[in-house]
Amino acid sequence: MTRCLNDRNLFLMNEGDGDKEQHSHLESCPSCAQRYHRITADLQFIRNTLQKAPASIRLAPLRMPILYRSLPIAVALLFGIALVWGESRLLNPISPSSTELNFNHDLTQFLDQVSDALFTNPNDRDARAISPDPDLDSVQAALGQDCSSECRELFASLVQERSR
Amino acid sequence: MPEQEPASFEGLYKAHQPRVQRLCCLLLKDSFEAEEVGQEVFLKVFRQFQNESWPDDWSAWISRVTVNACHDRRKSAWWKWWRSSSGELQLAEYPSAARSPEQEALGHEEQRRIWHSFRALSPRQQEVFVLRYLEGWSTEQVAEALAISTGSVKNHLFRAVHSMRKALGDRS
Repeated sequence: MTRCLNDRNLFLMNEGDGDKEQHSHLESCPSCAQRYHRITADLQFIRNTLQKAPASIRLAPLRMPILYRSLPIAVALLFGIALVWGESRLLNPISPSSTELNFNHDLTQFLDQVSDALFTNPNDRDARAISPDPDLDSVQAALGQDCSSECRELFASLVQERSR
Repeated sequence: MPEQEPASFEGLYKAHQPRVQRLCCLLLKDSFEAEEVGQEVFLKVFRQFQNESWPDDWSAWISRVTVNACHDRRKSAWWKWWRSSSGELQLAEYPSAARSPEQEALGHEEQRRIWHSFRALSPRQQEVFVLRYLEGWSTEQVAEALAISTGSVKNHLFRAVHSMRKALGDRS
């Protein structure tokens, strides 16, 4: 056998395996013998190192991914809080405050007025709209300086018609 | 070879506790976790002791129970998730008068590399390595305990040693 042995074969020989040819090669090849001894020495060193496990080794506290690892816990906590809050809301619905009641009252009143204005008799509404004696000055004041002559004529005819 | 029958559970505990603790430390990384599993192991030992159906070899039986307990612990999903990012290894300083500070530092670094590469091995490779080289079992005994073939044991051993030697680098 002329080919050198690979690491696997050398290791298995250390484990008690290997045929006659391999053993005779190992005896005759200095390179393989050196590699074999290195494997044995390394293995011994590894064993010695790991043997003193409890006395000489300890683990530092886990630091890095604490945020990452706490995320599910935080999510579960939030979910729990939401659940408790939702349940309490279902059991004790919130009573409206006095401000809200006032607002609702005002709104109802306003809506009543609007509905009155919209749905009462149109004739009555016209009468009511014209009933106060309008004069040109007040109309002009309302319309501002832009009251044109056409506008004045229209208003005058309206007043005449009403007086008739 | 079967050992002498234990006189009491206490005697059994004293004789095997350090070994069980070391095994757990090797297979579980965390000393607290190792302590917990060690207690579980001795609970099983206690039950077995009370049963009076004692094993032929307490030492081998306890080792097997320990390896299985560590295996079960590592298989649990919670443990996997919690330990997925392992902590940093810290080797305690033990200054030696016989070695120079440089040699000491070099040896320390080599130890660290071995430990890191051991941690990086698969659980099965760790179990096989520990039983074969640290517990001193034969390949056949390891194969029987772990319910795998002897060829598989040798394969795991070679891979484990190969990767640890690789991590160790050239020491010459």
